Amino acid sequence: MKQIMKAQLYQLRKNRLIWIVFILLLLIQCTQMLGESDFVNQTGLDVLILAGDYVAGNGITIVSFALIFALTFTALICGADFIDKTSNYELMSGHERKDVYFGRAIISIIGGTVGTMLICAFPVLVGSVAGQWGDSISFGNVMVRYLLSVFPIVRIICEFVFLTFLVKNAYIVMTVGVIVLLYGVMIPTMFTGGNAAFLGLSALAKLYDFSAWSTYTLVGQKTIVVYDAVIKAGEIIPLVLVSIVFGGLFLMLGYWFFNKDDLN
Amino acid sequence: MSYGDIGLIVLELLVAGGLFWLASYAEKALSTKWKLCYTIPMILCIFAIALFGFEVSMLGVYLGALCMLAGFMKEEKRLRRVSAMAAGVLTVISLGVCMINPEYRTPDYVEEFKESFSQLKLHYNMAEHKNIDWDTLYEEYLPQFQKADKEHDEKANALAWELFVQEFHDCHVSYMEKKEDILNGALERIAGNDYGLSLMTLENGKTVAVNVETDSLVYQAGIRNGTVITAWDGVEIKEAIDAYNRDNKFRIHAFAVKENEDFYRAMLVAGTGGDSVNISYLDDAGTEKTVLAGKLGNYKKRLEDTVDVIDQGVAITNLAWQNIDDETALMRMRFMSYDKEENFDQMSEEVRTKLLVLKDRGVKHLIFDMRSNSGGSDEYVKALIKLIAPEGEHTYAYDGVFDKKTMRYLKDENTGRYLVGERECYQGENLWGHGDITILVNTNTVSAGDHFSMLASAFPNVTIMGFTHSSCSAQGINSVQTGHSFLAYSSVLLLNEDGSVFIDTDETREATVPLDIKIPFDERAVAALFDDGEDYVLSYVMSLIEK
Repeated sequence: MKQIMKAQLYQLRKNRLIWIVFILLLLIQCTQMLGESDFVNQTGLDVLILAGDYVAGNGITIVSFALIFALTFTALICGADFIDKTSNYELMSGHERKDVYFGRAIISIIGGTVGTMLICAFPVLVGSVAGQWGDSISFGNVMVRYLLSVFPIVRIICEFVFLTFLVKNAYIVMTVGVIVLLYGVMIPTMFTGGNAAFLGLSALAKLYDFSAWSTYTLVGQKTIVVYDAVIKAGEIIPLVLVSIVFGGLFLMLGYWFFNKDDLN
Repeated sequence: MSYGDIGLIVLELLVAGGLFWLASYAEKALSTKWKLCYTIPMILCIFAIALFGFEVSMLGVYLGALCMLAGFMKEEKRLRRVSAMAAGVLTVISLGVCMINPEYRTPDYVEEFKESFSQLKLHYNMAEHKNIDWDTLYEEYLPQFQKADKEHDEKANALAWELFVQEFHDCHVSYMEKKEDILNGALERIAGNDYGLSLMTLENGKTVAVNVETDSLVYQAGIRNGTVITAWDGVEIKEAIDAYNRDNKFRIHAFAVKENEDFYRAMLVAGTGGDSVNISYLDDAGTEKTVLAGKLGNYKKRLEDTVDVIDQGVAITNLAWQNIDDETALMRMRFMSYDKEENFDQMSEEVRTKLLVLKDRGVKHLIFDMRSNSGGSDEYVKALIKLIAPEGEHTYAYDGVFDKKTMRYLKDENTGRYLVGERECYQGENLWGHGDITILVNTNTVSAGDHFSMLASAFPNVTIMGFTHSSCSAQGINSVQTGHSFLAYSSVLLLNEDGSVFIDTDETREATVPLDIKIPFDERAVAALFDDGEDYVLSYVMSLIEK
């Protein structure tokens, strides 16, 4: 397994597509934030970007975009080697299916998670440096949610792994995945009455969709929005547990499938 | 049963049947892809739980989906068939459990109360002003919600909410059920029995029968609208009214003004009693008599009819004009909204044109009928009030200073008063300086209706009239939505220049919006309202104008 993981890391260094997607997503996120008209003073002289407001209002969009990296990464690590038959050669050269599968899955989970978390955090860091955080939402509470999002992200990557070993084509997985993720921004409105933790994207939406309370002024009818980013223990536990259980389940399903699958 | 659960059960049964059949077929057409079909039930369950929530009664369906997952892990025809059959059986069992389980998908009333209570405690901006004791309220009402939850009694839950919101004495704290029949059912429980009459206390302190049912024992006994009632169910009437209002918290409205509450205080007593009740009254000769009146049904309908008759306004649409006579015109304002686009400039122009036409015609008396005005936009108020205000700049109100971190409006540490934010003002046009203006209000003239009355009360040619004060509840509102209801509450602070609260009553519950002429609720009013079907308030105003 170690050898397979090393080989994947080597491939990773050489794979331009992954790096292009990574940089592109970082740029898109930063541009989107800096261009957010509501938070940029258009005078150009004193640019005020309230990063907190941006995160509060665009949380699920940020994470949905960032997951495109996890998708690309997983699809290429787990799926590209089926196209050029590298996986077949690995098996023929004596590697066990378990090693072939988990060697790729582990790299996908680690690399995908780190990359996704970086893409989520980068624009917010840029915004905080260029402007300020603001007082609409607590930075500490957002950080707690950010760190907790590791669990559903890992779970989603496990689902990507399962899907990739099922389809065995990196590009089909990427296409389908991107469509699903782009629709992910609609998720918060879909799962209001149910148990959000049961789907990876809805669990992420729960973390990044901050409940807002708004008041307004008599003068000018200005809206004042205050976001509540506190997350209760009662919400954290099911979210973490369900993410671990389903992440593990999909990882094992993928393995059970690959273990007896025909390789052409 | 919920449509989501029915859909999942039907799908799971179909999939179980399909997978039972597929067990043989997949064995012949061997491919690893077939086994993916055995993950379908589990994926369906994950989506269903995410969408509709976990339900214990559906456990059989979820377990069935897990059973069928065995077919994915082990490619054995027998195992796959057995797991599909087991899933089918478990699903059918679940269907039965869902149908007989009284706790199936019942809302958690206690959790809803706790959640809404915490929201209210955090955001209700009149808590200090009205001296709300949150802990006492919580301790008093939590058991009521626990009882409603334990008995799965949606009407008891609605009733608990209704009583809870009335504790705030703020017409902006209100509870609304999405299903209207639940709240109606709850109010029927508390309204009591109908004995064929309602009660009102007159200005002179006598309590009289009103809205008497002609086809009833009380009518046959000689009780008519205006008949003095001396005792109810053997208890002297004043004592009966005091006892009811002392022992029961339910009122027909959430009265902010105590005086307004007292105006209606006799009304609910007419619903008290068992299958029959002894009603003592004075006949035409002044002799006290007693009739044993049997119940005719539920009192809620008669109660609401009585309130409607007293609170009634002119039966014309919002913003419609009515020429009462050559010198008097009336405009009805039922709510403070204009059109979907809220084009208040257009509205203002429309009213301005109308006022100028009336002025040219020689109309001197203008009546704004704002009885039961349910409020709306303050932009509406500004668009209208500026037309009748004396020329010059006028203050509407001041914003509070909101602190996002504490989510509270800031107070001056020295004075204890709120810090005053920006000032809202308007320019008066004095289009009606030549004549007088009468504003008709009642206890349901609320919010922006209160704003208009309050602002207009400062003008020299304006007189505010009614049986009662307007509601005196005028802060901006917000709402919280639970699973099946809405809770609205005051949350946007409006202030006077000195940092005192704009309009809303404090714990003394004394009226803040002036009532220049309190129309006496007397025998003439009862006869006009309940016998003649007359708009007595308007007639009273006209008689004053004629004088």
